[in-house]
Amino acid sequence: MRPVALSLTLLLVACGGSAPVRTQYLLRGEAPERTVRVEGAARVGLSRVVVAPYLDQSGIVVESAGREIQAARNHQWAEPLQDGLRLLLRAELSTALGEEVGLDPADRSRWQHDVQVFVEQLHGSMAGRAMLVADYRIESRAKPGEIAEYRFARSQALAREGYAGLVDAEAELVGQLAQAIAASLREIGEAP
Amino acid sequence: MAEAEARISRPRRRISTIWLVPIVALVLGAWMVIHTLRSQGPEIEIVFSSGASLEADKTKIKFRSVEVGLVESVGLAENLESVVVTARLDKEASPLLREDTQFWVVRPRVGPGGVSGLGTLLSGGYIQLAPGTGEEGRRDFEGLDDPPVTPTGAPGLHFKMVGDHAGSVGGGDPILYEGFRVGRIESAEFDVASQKMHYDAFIEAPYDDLVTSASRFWNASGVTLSATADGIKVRTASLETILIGGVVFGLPEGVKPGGPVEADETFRLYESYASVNEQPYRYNLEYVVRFARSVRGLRPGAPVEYRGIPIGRVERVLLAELVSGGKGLSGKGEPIPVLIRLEPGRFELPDSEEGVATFERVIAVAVGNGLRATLSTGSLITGSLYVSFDMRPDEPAAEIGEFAGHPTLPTVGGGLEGIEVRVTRLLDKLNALPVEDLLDGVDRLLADLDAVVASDATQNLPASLDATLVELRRALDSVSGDSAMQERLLRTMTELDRTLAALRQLLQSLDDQPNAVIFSRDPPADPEPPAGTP
Repeated sequence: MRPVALSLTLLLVACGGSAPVRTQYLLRGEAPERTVRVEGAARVGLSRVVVAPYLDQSGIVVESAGREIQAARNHQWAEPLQDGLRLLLRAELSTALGEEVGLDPADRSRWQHDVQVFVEQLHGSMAGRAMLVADYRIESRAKPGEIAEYRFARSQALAREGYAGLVDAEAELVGQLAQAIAASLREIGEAP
Repeated sequence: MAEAEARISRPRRRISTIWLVPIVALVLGAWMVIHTLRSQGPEIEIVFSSGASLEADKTKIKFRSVEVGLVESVGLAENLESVVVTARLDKEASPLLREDTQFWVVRPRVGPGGVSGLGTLLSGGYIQLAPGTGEEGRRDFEGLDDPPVTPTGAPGLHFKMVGDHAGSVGGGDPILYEGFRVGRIESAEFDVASQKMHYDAFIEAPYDDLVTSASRFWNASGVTLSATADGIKVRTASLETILIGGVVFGLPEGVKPGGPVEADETFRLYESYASVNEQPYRYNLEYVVRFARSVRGLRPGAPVEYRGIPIGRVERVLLAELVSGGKGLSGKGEPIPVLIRLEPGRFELPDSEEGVATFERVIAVAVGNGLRATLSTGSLITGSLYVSFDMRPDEPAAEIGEFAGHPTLPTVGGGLEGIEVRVTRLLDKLNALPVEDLLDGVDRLLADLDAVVASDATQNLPASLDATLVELRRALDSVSGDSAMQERLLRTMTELDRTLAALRQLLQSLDDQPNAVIFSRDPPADPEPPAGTP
């Protein structure tokens, strides 16, 4: 009996140990006052938000050194980054335009403008900055076949250290991207 | 002592000097006779059909308006059918009397070409001399009734023309080239034997070079009026030709100039420019093609074609040659011989004798390679026929034969014969069809169709169809690229990708540390991003 008891004790000691503490983050902005367009369907829609393959994972990505990327094991997104980006961008764009932005691709045929975003880079750095590089294009129903393409590349200093500060900075960059898209829509002249 | 010599002188008989007078007179007379004889010009005889305006010792003979002789006597010929004029020419005018020297009486004349000889109304008529280019020494001449159209020896081209109808072309009429008068018709005669008009024509130098072997002459009298889809076209040569007639020459459409023309060559005088273009080529080859079938519908002038390209025309059916000897109408009957004319010019060969010789060789080679003639149908409505040539290399070998002095070309059946057989078969099948039963069936079918169309179900069909299309559109929308179904499917696939990626990471961890499931190792700490400076 004694050897068996000894083995079980060793196994328990081996399997025991403290489990890592994982923190999950939600990419959201400040809850704004929403202006809802009452008549008809949305004029502007966000049909697609696509992230680069290196971002399509649960860990928050940090550029630890030059061209060296590391996804955090204990600091993860609470939802797929692509979905979080889409929801945050739609909210920020609705605020910037002052009207509800459509999100359901089934309504695409009724939108006056269709916005599609392709995120190339969204990560933090050990220099205390967050970076967002994205291409977006706007397709207007009034001009079928004509697609206006734009590029957005900005960085934002982290207001506080750690991954919480990184997530805040990335949300701030997404808000700036929404402002840029709204400005582009106004340039086209069809948006309010 | 010297003897005295007596000198006796006798009186001498001397000729009287009075005789010098007659001698001198005789010498002078002889000299005068000889001088007169030597200074006299030649005496000539001219035979005219009439002695009008001719008087002895009064009527002069002129050359270039200079008097060169005088009529000495005017008398009837022995046969009383003409007048013989004896005239004496000046000695200096002797070289003018040549083999082809012409004489005619100049008197007032009114003709289609104008009025001439008015100057002789007061001065009286005279005989005009036109020297020729032949040998000298002729003394008897045939006087012309009318002045010659072309002076003897004038540089240019003399040629002949043959026409079917006299029309309004006569002697003295102009010959025009591009509207410019370059020659004239010298004479016109109707040949009873050939029933054709024969013309002598002359083109003045240097315009005679314009006449080539490919030139065509046509009657330019009157006005040619033609109405086409492009409008009404009026073609005239000149006012002169409209009034008094004339001949125009030129090249048919698309025909190149030929070679030089020899004097006295014969051209055909066409009735109009349109008839020139109907038969634009002058040289041709005559062949006989023999068909063992009815040639009803084959008329003279019918086209002869090679694979649809006109190469000649049908001249006539050689009926007389067929029945001569009685062989043509014996037994099963000989094939009907048809004389055709093939024109080398249509193959862009020279429209000349050389072109004909070349074309003859080409035809001989082609027959050896399978060239065969077929009687084809030009129009099913009129039943007109034409002769068609084509290469039939599968046909038995044949060669050029001979019939009634003409070379023959081999023929094969086809054309209308085959069509007739097929049409007959088609008509037989149509007759065999139960047309009445078929029509009854069609009537019943149409009645049933009316009932079906008028039924409520059919009438409601459009509404049902519209509803179905709406449903179909919804169904298609649900599976379109932007549909919720597609979105869910895409999300599922993305999740599956992530799961596979996590599984790959797990497998990599197990590969690095096989006991990782039981004994975990401490992962490296996550890099902690510092706060930055704005």
